[in-house]
Amino acid sequence: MRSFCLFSLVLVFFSGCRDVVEDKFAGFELKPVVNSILIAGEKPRVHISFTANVSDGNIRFVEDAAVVLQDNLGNTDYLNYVGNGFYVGSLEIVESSIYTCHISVPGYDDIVAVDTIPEQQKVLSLEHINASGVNNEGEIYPAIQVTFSNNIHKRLYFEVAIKLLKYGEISSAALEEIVDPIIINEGLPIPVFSNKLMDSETASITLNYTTNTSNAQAMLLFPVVVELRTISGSYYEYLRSRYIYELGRYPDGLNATGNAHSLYTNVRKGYGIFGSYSTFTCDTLYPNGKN
Amino acid sequence: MSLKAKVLLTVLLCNCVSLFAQKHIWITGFVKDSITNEVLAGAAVYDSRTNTGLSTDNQGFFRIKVSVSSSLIVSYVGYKKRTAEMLALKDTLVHIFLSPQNDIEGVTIVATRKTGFNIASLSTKEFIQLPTISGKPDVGKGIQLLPGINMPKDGSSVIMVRGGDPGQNLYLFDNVPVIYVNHLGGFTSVFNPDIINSIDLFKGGFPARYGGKLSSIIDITQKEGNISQRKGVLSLGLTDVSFAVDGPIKKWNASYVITGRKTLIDPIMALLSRYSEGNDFIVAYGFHDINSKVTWKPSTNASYSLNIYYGDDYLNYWKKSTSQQKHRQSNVWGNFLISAQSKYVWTPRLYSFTSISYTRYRLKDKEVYSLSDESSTFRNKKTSSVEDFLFQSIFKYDVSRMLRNEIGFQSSIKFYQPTGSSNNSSGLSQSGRIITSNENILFAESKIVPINKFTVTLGLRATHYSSESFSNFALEPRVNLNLDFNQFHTISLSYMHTNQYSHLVMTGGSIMLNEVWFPSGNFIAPASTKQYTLGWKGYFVNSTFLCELNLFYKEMKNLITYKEGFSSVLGDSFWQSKIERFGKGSSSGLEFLIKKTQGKLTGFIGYTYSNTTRQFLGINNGIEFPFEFDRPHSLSVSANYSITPKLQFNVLWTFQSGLPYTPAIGKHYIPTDEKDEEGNNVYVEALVYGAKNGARMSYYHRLDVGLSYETITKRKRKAVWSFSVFNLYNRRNAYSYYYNHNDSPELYIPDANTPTQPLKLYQISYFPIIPTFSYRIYFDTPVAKENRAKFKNWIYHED
Repeated sequence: MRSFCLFSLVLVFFSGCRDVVEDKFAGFELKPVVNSILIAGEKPRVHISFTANVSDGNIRFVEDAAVVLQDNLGNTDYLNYVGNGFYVGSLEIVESSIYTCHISVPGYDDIVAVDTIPEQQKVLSLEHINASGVNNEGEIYPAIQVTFSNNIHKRLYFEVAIKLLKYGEISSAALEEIVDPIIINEGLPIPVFSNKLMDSETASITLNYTTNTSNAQAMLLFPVVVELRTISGSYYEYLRSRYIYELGRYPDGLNATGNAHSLYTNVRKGYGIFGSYSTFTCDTLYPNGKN
Repeated sequence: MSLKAKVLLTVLLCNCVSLFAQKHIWITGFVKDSITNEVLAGAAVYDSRTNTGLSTDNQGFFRIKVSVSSSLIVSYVGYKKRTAEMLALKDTLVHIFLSPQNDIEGVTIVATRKTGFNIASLSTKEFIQLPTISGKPDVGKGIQLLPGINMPKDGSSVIMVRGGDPGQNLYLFDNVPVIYVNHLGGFTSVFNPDIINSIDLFKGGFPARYGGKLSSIIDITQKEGNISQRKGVLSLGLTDVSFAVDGPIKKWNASYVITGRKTLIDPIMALLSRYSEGNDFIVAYGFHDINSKVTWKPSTNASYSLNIYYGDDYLNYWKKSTSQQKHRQSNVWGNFLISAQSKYVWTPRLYSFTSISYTRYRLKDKEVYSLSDESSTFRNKKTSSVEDFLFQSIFKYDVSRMLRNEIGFQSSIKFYQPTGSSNNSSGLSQSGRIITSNENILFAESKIVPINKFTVTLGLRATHYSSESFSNFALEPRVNLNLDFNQFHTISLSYMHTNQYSHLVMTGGSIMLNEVWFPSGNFIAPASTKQYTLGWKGYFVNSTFLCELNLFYKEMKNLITYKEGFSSVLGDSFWQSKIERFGKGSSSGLEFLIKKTQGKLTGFIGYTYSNTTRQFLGINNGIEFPFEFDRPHSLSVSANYSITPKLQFNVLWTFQSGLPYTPAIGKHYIPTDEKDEEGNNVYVEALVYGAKNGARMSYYHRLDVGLSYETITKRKRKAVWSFSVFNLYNRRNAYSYYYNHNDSPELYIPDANTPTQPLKLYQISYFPIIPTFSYRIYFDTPVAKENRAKFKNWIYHED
């Protein structure tokens, strides 16, 4: 509504113009880009590509890299190229292990990336609140309340994925009005947080969410699958930086910050993210009943 | 020598000493408009015999020591210069009345308003001539044209002084601080030009009586009511309609002035939104403000005034989906100010100013959604406010011509409620803790003339600040050295140190709710600055031209800003996690001004070269980067030509460096949360950015022209038509830059199905060529008659 008002003023009085400023950019040194999100219990997948110039049409995949994954127990996995930049291994990722990934791309410096797979934290209870509040469109929105185990002696990071089973398809739900102090303290409207403010072995978080579908006065409710991910510190930093990056990259009119923000990387001598998480998936919730 | 001779000699010597003692007297007084009785701040007062002089302060007050039988030359922009013989034999209080030039000979401006160093000054007559985007004069947009002062973005009235932030400017409205100074998201300022007498902006070298903000003091003096007749003016512009009424309260030897403004766009917006197809809501934005001032002068040496200002912006939204289902959002933000002031001339050497004031800034974002009954009504409210109770007393005492003193005391209690919120549906209520702060200031300043033509001004400001368990004592030294080569050329060297205990985080580009203030405390340390300036000022061709050159260097410490990615903390009880602290800043530069004040053609050329940086530990990996609003080159050329006494043509050309932006130097793939059919994360392209603010947008420039024509209505009222064209050659100045794919300039967000594509750099620009007009009609006597008795005695004396 605020954006609408501001844009009304702008449109009425000072219609904006968009013009091309530059379409040729200085060359950019090519470097390998390594991306991988290791998930406990699954096999490793690493995506390797090159950087590109801003004006390039395509971003090239690296198809001839040597990718080796080692854990702190001495296990070694040689990953094979399967196409579209993906390299796949055969060893199962294990919680609490430290993984080091060595990548050799011919003609470039060797790349090393390290991450520790976090220990899975369990969901102790999950509650669905059908009417949690009203948004500024006048729609009643729902919420979930997740109670989970915590380790107060260790810095832990979490991500809650709320998935809706809408009309036979799975889609992610975004957060609505944020009221939980943990998320407010984190500052970003994404369900990614640390246990910095949690002082007991169990913690609880309430997340209002939107289904993006409503009748005149309330959002329509759908079956919900909630996944609690215990994520690594690197992945936590990446998720936060990605949100801030997108705020600047795709500004929401005059209200957005529009400031360019670089993405977090823990890949030495290259770009990308080497992160990980352990996940706990809850039983499906049926806000309207199973039928 | 005989005893008789000795006695005679002694008597003669005594007489000589007595005669010598009577040779100099103190002349104290006020310089005023002979018709309206308005005080003239910044008028030049010179002793013709010694060629020494000074300017009146913002109360039109001056003190000067002169020889008996010497002459005082008094001049002011737009008024006839007068020379007065001083016939008094002892210290005397005078009221000097100057006649407006345009009432006698037309509109030619004949005198320069002389100001000190580090002061950017605009009289009402000067800034109302500038063509503006809204068709009506605006304080902020006028000040922005002067050297050392920049605007953050196109169309904004917000000012940045010598590399400072917007929250580092102290706005004084008749010596009382105003906290929120913008309407319409910074598009126009809260100061109604109809009540402004003069504007002085101190960019550095602050006098000791000023402090509390790092970058500037904007001292705005309000008009006093006309003591001879009732007057009025009604003005219609693009954004608002305004009025001003002033006149005498003869029974009490008092006067009043009332002004007000109201936007015209809110009813239009409400109607447009209500009757647009498919809409079931009404939305309206607007602002209003009202100023009033009553001045009572029970005697010639005493003056008391009561000022009230009230102004708000508001944005309202109503939606009624069904008869039982209603949604209302109401946002309001603005200032309230009330102050009582006294000015008293105790003796020709002692003058005092005392005031007590209350200022409140608050913003509210309130939302109510109701269904059929109260139990299903949802309320959500976010608030932020600052209240300031201030008492101040200032005394000016002249010991001799070589030693002038000013001492004073200021005590302020502020109540901050930065982030309050309540939400009945979630049960979450954070009333917003009120943080109290107390600031006590004692200051003293001496202006010493140890040798002829050399003036040393030494000031010291002792501040004691406390807020909850935090307290801070600081001494802020101020030094100004002035050397007059002759009557026309002066150089100056100054140093100042000051602290700021009130900190602003501001959301750029937001029309509402964009200012939240925090006090210093255990979390936010007091900000401070040190500034060094070196300047030269010269008058040429019989004072037709004023030239000024200044060099400055400024350091700032303990600055705050939002952490990257954050733009609002309203209603956020965990605001601490969004604030980046302990920032450093520096700014250095050169300012040049040449001003022509006489003849049919008047105007100025102002140029600034500067370099401003910021450094925060949590931003840009702690590496210093160019300030977000750094514009190294800034040039303004303003000219006003009087074609006839009633027809004036104005032209203004502005040229500035483009704002910095962070360029993309490459791109690469990043994983998203989405999965493809094989369970792989979907990859999209992302930009690799270069150095923060490492590139600049294209140069900013535009030409504005204006024409004003004075006419007489059928009812013999004076009226003025003003036409102006903003951005005459329709320059598309960059508001911001962004990268986008080839196919469309409209911002396109790639998803999983978007193949990578070449990117181009685009700019968004607003404010194309905009013609505007305004109309002012005056409701006073068609041709103002001067008080002839007073005019004859345009200077008179009272002990």
